[in-house]
Amino acid sequence: MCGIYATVMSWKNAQIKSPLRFCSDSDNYPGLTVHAWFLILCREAGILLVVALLPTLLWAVVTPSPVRWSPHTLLPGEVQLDELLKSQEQILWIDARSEEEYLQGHIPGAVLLNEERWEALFVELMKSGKWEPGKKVVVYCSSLSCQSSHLVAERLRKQSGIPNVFVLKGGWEAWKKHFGR
Amino acid sequence: MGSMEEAFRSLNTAGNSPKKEIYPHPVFARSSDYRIGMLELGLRGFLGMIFVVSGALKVWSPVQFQQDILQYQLLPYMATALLAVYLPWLEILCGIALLVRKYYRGALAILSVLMGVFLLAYLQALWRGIQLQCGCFGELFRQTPPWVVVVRNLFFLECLTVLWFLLLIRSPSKKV
Repeated sequence: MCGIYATVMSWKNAQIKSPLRFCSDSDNYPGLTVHAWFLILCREAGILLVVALLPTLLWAVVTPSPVRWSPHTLLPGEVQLDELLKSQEQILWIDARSEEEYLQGHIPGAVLLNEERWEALFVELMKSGKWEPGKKVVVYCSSLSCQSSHLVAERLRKQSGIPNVFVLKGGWEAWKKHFGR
Repeated sequence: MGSMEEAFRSLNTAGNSPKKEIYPHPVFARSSDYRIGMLELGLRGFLGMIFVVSGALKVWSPVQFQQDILQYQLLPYMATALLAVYLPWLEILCGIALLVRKYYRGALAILSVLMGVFLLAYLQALWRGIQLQCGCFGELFRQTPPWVVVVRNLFFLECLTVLWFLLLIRSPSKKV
């Protein structure tokens, strides 16, 4: 707001009465029409957009953590539902969604553990005895774009020291799609 | 600063008291250019640094940035991957353009569009009930409440608007 006030006061004190009247300046020189000004703007923006491609292409090649170009690519720590079901090992499912979503439906046997009520739910999980050494822990949230599962998994690894904590790729949507619910 | 020196020199030679009102002085009145210039310099420096830093933070964690874009549930998967690698570098370049005042108009235009589009996307995500994190500064400030994100981005948009206005009303006196 101070900036707008200062600008208005400066404008009132300046020699120019209308912002459309260009003056002798490196940005606005006499004879510069609105059309030409707009063309210069487009040219400058176009140059910036094109030049930004150069470091982008270079970085896409050399970056140590490349992006996923396909939704089927797994991030470190992610697992596919098909693989889990094929392996038939014992899994402790952790639901990282909100309590409302959990109550509406969850993977059978899943334990709720979200960031909103972390302290209380974490203590409950540790006391419940549902986790045993060697048991795989898989965290899921609502869908592929959901971040909560990654955050909960990271926090669980750090706070509990459990090594085998994974994230279900696709989350609850992947489960529903697999079992047709 | 030259105009201010001339103003004081003219005051002394005229025998005017330093306390006398000298505004509007024929030379001192042009200090509006000085004020405009300093305001623009401050805003350019502030915004330029903000965009360079936020772009650099996102460059180092493209996977995280891609996940942040996916949260908005607006774009196809491939588009999120392209934006995740391209947008941070565009941001850095436009921030540098603001700082050095080269391709200034283009940088202002691009940053204004980026901020406007981001704000609209964020508001529509909130309206749809999507719980998301801004991802504006990479791994930093991820737990920022939504209202803080909105206010912060409105502030940046206001700063950009002021820069646009200053660009249009530059008076014909000396550059600062």
